[in-house]
Amino acid sequence: MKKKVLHQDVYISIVLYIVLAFFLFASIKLPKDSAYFPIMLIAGLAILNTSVLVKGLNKTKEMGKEGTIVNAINWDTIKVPLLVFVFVVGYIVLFRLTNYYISTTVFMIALMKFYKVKSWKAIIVVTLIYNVFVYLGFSIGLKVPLF
Amino acid sequence: MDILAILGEVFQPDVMIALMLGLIVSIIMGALPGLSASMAVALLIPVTFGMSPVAGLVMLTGVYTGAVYGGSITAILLHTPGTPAAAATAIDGYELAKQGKGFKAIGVATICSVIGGAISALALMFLSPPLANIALKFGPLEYFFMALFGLTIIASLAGDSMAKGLMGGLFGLFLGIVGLDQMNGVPRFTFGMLALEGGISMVPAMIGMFSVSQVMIMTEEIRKGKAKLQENADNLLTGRFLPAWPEFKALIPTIVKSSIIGVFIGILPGAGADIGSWVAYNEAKRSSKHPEKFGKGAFEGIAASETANNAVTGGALIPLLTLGIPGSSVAAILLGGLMIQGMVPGYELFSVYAKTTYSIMFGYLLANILMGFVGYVISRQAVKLAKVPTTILAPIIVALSVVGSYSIQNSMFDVYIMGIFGLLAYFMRKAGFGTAPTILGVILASMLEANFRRTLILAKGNMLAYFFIRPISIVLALLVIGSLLLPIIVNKVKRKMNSDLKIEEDPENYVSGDID
Repeated sequence: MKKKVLHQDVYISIVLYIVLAFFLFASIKLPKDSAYFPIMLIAGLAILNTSVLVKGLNKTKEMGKEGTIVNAINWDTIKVPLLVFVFVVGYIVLFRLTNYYISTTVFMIALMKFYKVKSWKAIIVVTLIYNVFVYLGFSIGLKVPLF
Repeated sequence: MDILAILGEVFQPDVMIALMLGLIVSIIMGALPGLSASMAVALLIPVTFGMSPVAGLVMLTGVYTGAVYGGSITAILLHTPGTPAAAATAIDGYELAKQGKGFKAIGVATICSVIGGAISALALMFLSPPLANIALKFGPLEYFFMALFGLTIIASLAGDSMAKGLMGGLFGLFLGIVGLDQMNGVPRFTFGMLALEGGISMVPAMIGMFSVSQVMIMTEEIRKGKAKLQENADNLLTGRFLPAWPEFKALIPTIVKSSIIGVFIGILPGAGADIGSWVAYNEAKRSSKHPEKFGKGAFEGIAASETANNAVTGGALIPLLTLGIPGSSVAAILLGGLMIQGMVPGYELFSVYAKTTYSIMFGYLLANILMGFVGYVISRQAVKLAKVPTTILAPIIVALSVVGSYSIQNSMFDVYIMGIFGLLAYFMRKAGFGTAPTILGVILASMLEANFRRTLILAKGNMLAYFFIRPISIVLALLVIGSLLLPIIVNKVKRKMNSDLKIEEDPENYVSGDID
């Protein structure tokens, strides 16, 4: 039996309701003056979220009928971009542990290899030119402590 | 205003170097498909921190107009608009390139971009001061509605539905109030994190939303094997650069009309360079003696779209500088750049900071003129660079985003913010939520809340009575309501344009298109 797939907007709405409920409880604990504006925003978001949920349910029905509507967020599409984001996280961690130039060199080479850039010459030249550019522009020009 | 003093401010070595660098980088970035004017401005904001306000802001406004122009180069030679604003240029530009008139098509695009941009700079200089005087009559309620108007108009146009666009805007407002409450110092939603007490850093958030999310979207394309553009552009870069005088003379009415259309559309909050170019293109086609030539290689088509999209840039700066309302999503990012330099939009810009403000405006005029020369020199190289595969560009964009975010306050926390917002924006764009209104919401949150709370105090519990004795507020409230109806009109215009271009939407690859 084919598994029933809901439109992504339905999932997003449900997650948003949970997040909004969490922030509503956090807002209630604030002094009255400070809580007024966030509560207004949460109310506005909840109303609009209901509209997204209703539309999402309608889209789910359409998905079943014609199959012209598909979820843009599906594992097959997002898995590689998410992997690239993992590279970015690794880059930031390495930057924290070493310095900008070491982490950038490792990151650029790793990502270009991941993207299947074949020419080592191109990889090294691009990485080198980029590092020199940042060194001259940011370390020397703007005096940003990148080491 | 002392013109000599303004010239003295602009013709400083640091301003001229910043301007030239900004133009070169932005034209190349504009020419690269996938890199937008928004990303160019967001990535270059950190570079302006160490500069004087004139140098920094002249550079950023120059980047805006340069990136919009740069989009035309690849639109003409590769049939791939570097920015959405150059989509209309691609129709006739590529046809002309195939006919061996590619270089002349770029020449026409360059001249028209310069004229459109220069006219919009003059409009900025002469229309802004009287508008700024109106801002003097504003109280907290008017400023509240003004901020709300700016937000609703951009939010209602972004995202794949009005509800999602507005949610993006409200979400941005929520993010903007994280940190210490400005009125009483109470920490809100900081969850004990000291670094969050100062609020979410605006520029790293912007960089993440426009750059890291774009790299993730580019990765999807890379995976499908679309890492490189066509290779045949060099063969199309033929013909002379400048059109002959009779050819140019025939374009003058189109240029004049498109400049006016562009400036007007730029002033309308939310309507960016892409809408301006389409409206001007359609008007040129409608009023042409030879409408049948459109789509088959008409210089008029290029003239209309390129004049208008650059005219939009100056128009969009008018409400930004006078009222603090960005006329486009790029202008929303520029608002962040303006505030970082300690300049708050409104009457003060034209009184206390008049010398700096007029210097920036003059610098912007100069940027538009210099753009022609820079464009002539680097258009051939820009096309070559546009062929650099995204597999090489993507790591460079991420590395620039990291150094840009870090260099603002030399803070790792800003780099984390950049990363988190990049991931968030990727999912927002995939799900059809607007990212531009989120950024605008972050920028406007404190202004909106402070004025709302001041109004509550001034109204002494009777908000409705207070509202009805303030006519400007009533007009602004009506504009807010009107802005919510605008998407219906804009969607109609866009649908018509898309059907003219025969653009079909690919539901599997849906990405929120709110970036200029």
